[in-house]
Amino acid sequence: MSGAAYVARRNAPLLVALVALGLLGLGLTRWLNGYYLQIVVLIGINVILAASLNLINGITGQFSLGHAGFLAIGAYSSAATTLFIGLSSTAALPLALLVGGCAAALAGLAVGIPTLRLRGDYLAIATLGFGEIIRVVILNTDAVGGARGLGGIPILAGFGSVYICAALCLVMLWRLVYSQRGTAFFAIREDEVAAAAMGIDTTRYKILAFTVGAFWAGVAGGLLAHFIGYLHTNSFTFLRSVEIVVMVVLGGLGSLTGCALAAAILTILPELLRFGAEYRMVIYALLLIAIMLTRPSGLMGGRELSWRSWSSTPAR
Amino acid sequence: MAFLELDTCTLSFGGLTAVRDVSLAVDRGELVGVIGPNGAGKTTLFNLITGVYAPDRGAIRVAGQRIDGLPPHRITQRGIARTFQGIRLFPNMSAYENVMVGYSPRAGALRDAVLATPRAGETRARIAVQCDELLRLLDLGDRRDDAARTLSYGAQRRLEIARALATGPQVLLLDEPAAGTTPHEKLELTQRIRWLRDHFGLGILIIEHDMRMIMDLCERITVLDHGEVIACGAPSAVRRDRRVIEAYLGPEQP
Repeated sequence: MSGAAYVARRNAPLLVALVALGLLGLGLTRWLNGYYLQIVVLIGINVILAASLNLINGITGQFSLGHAGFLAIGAYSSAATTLFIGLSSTAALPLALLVGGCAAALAGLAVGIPTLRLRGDYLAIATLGFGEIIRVVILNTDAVGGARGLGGIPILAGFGSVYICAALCLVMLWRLVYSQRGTAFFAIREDEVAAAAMGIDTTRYKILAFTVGAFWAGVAGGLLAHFIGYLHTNSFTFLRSVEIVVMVVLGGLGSLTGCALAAAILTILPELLRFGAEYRMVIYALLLIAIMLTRPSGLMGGRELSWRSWSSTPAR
Repeated sequence: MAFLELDTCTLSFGGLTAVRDVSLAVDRGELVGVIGPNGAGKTTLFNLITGVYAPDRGAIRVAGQRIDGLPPHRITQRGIARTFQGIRLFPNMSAYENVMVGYSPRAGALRDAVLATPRAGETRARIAVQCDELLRLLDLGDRRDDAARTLSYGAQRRLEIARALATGPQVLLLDEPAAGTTPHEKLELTQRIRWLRDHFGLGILIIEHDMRMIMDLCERITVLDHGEVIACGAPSAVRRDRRVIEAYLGPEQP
């Protein structure tokens, strides 16, 4: 049983952090006003989205523009789980998130297998098409509200659940890609032919990246649905995918901590710019351009923020 | 029976036959050279062995089993590793990480890494030691954490060899390892290749244009021209072969 003890010891800090986040969530809902709390929760959801897309785009190098599609599948399927079964207790949330995540993962698998023969721009176009198809299908499905949107979803998610998921997502992806086997993901981004010559089954890893990335996007969708309580296909357009891509690029392709940081900045920025009224999005865009000009390889430039290796290439 | 055997392999691209009826054998511990004028089909031969292409006719065997038609990663897992003519390192990864990629397929399950099981801890420690050892053997110890793209040309070539060795090969294919290196580096490389053969008991198949180096290094040489084997044998015999001289210099004028 020393194996179980070892696993428990290695994962103890994570468990402590998760419990702390849960408790913090209980406190925050009491002390923070609704507006700030909403921003903080949306940051958490965007962190999950950015990190999961980073696995596909930044780390494995497969340029995907369909992340809003996975987000939508997760949001609608998990909302359907609680709505149609009539679950309204917080205990149902893990189930709903799991359904959302798995539905999105299946979609990731289904998209991954045929489209991964494509590279670069072609893959981007195919995934963009996928995202739009998902949106249009939902828009025309009356069972989930169609053009009216889907309302009345029980509010089950909040700070605690969102940040617990974000922490789990980041830790899982970190351990995955910074393990010795996981270097394969980076190798595929760097040079696919050379990676295959190293004995790496590149197709398998690309599909895995798509499936895991889609799973977490689906979880983020489930959280969004159960935090806002209302879903409409307008929130899952091509622009939403682009927004997530911007977070990944701004954070530095391949940097998990960088994209989390970028997700936070890009969620707060539009709120801070409210003084600009109608010029808000112009200022936002100008700031983005300014950041990319001064830090052309993103905020973190592919490095990770970590205690051990502030100055070295990704921590291993 | 040699570890790696090509049996009358043919590969055509449309109307062009790039490799015609080529047979070749490399066993563990052997140093075999492949030479030929530009466009003779040498690199295509390497691509054929490593699964980039499948032969139209003929068979390729590793340890007696057919490998033609298998994807590249499977062939590498059977014990064939290669370097590339134009260096193909993972440019933004450190020297250490480049070598680690070679171990990746044998580095335990991803599940163990995600759950941080004891097995993952053991694997991590074991492979870290092996990576450092390979870097040291190829004089890259002091460049361990530098991005591959920042290394000198010679160091990049050595790193490619270290990375190939990390896959645990029985036979190593080197595609023009001395291209663009200085005479001094060539001498050093010759000694290094011999040492690798002795130390790891490797079979080494080497494409090279530097005649002095390949004649000095190899026990057997296969000469390709227009995709066909025009000569095969000991360096001393190949050097005097009339067809080889003609292939390189053109036929004697009447």
